[in-house]
Amino acid sequence: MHISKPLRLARFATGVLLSLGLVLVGLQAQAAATIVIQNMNAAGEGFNDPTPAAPVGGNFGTTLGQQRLIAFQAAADQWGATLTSTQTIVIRASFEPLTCTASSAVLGSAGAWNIWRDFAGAAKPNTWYPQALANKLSGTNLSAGDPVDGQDIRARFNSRLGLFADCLPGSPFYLGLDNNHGPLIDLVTVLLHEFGHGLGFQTFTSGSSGVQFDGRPSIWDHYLYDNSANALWVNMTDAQRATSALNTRKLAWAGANVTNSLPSVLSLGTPFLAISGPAAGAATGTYNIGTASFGASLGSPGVSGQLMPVVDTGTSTGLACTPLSPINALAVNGRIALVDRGTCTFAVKAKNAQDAGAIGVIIANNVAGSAPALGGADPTVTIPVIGISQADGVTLRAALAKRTRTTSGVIATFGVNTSQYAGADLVGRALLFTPNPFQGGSSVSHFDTLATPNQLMEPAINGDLLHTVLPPYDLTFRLLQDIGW
Amino acid sequence: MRVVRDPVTGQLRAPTAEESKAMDEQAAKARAARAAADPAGAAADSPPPMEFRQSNGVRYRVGDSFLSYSVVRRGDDGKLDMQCVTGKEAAEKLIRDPKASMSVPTSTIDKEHGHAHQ
Repeated sequence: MHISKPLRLARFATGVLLSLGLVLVGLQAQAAATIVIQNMNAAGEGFNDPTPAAPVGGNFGTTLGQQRLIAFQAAADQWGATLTSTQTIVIRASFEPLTCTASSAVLGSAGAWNIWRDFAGAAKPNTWYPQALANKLSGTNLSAGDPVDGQDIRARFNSRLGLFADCLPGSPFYLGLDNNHGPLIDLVTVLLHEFGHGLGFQTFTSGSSGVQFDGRPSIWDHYLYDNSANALWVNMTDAQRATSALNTRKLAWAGANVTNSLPSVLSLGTPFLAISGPAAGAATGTYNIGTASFGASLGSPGVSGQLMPVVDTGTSTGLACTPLSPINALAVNGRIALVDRGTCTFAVKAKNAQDAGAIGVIIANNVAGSAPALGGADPTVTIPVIGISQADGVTLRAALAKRTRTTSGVIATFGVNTSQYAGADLVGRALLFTPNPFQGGSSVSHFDTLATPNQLMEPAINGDLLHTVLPPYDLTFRLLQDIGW
Repeated sequence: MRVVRDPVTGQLRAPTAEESKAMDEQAAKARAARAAADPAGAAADSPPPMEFRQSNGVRYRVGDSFLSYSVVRRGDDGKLDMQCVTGKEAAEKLIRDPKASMSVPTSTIDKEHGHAHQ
């Protein structure tokens, strides 16, 4: 719920009055849940910065500090209007100097400050819950006796961003409330995302090691389903969870609220590569792919043909960095070329294969990890091009070991599966972000980057996000409902 | 380990004595500001998680342990890439290591992202 402007300003005026010194300030969103922003800044700093500011995007604060606090409250209002709880959610917040350089910066941080298990009302025993959710489920303020450390969420944001030469100069927070941020960093969007983590959009289990916090699962882990292991994280060993966290595009969210709403939020169309044919053998199946920023767009049913490798004389690779030899040209002419990453750009490889008559190109990574997305530009490349992982490249080359100069018996088909939602598995469950190698802090606790349209809780906070956490635009609240909100 | 980007060559290198001093001063200033803003210590860097057994459940004050950090970097093309990571260490790595991986999608159709070209 967005409170009316006069009411918002009235509340803000109260906040400013009480925030002098270190008095905690409560700005309450009158909604299904009450969220209180506690201003932790000293006089003259952060939320209390007296620097005059002109109104921007519906934010009518007259100082920099006021506008920051109003933006915070707008994000809190959004969540407050969406959540339901009898218990006040307390966000202890401040603007302060955080790490930054001329070209990068920590925008801010937020997250659960306390977690709970085995409280009255917990749906799952022996399971960690973020405090805001635990309070809701128990119907009490579980940390009521701790005024010092009893907050639900702690939030710190960068007071120097864009305002100093050593802190991403020229790119300050956009403090407007209308999402009309242009090239600037929309504070409300960032806050919606980080508050989402603090409310429960995260696991407390280590994704890199699989070790549970204090030997117990998080409520999050009850809904993580690995499509390869056919098991939930709560039923896996540490080693299995660590493997699962690297299982790109195979770790799904099994909660019913997300799954039921997903068709109304995500669009259909997922890139795919399928390998078949009489000689495919163990390579038969579907593969994760990276798409290219050049060449023909992937379509449906896609391109299909015999897969033939490019082979460089005297090496185990096929780089295709120069015009193909007559033997290689004969092999790929009218077929799909398998080449290796390295030495030259992806576009050069694709162009050389195209010039030899290839109808499509698959570029295998030359380092371990997920299938690479292929950057670059060459408008003369008109055939489709995709990337696959190094491991998958090895698998395909093994299947191609026995072949003639023009026939392999291995059929590659790649394009867009129009029956699979972008960001979901084959049965319509939302995918979690599980790149290989592991990305500390991003893996597992975000939606997959394939989700289309962009979702608030992807690891990359995209510039086209709306200020909403609900279908038909966003799945964030549905996921929180799955864990108990 | 500390590194700086050389303003002339654009390459990473060890900081000079003057640069180290400036970084120390900035860090000290940031710590002082946090301490002034939060004398109770709630904002101290990563207080160790602490268990509290109470009549209605078990609480862990996890503090900074599971905070999510939003990090932004400006690319060579001037565009900003924002990423959310958990933990101060992961955030600092993204800031200090220009080659540290941002969340590049590995398979998208129309989403903008920072692909490698080679």
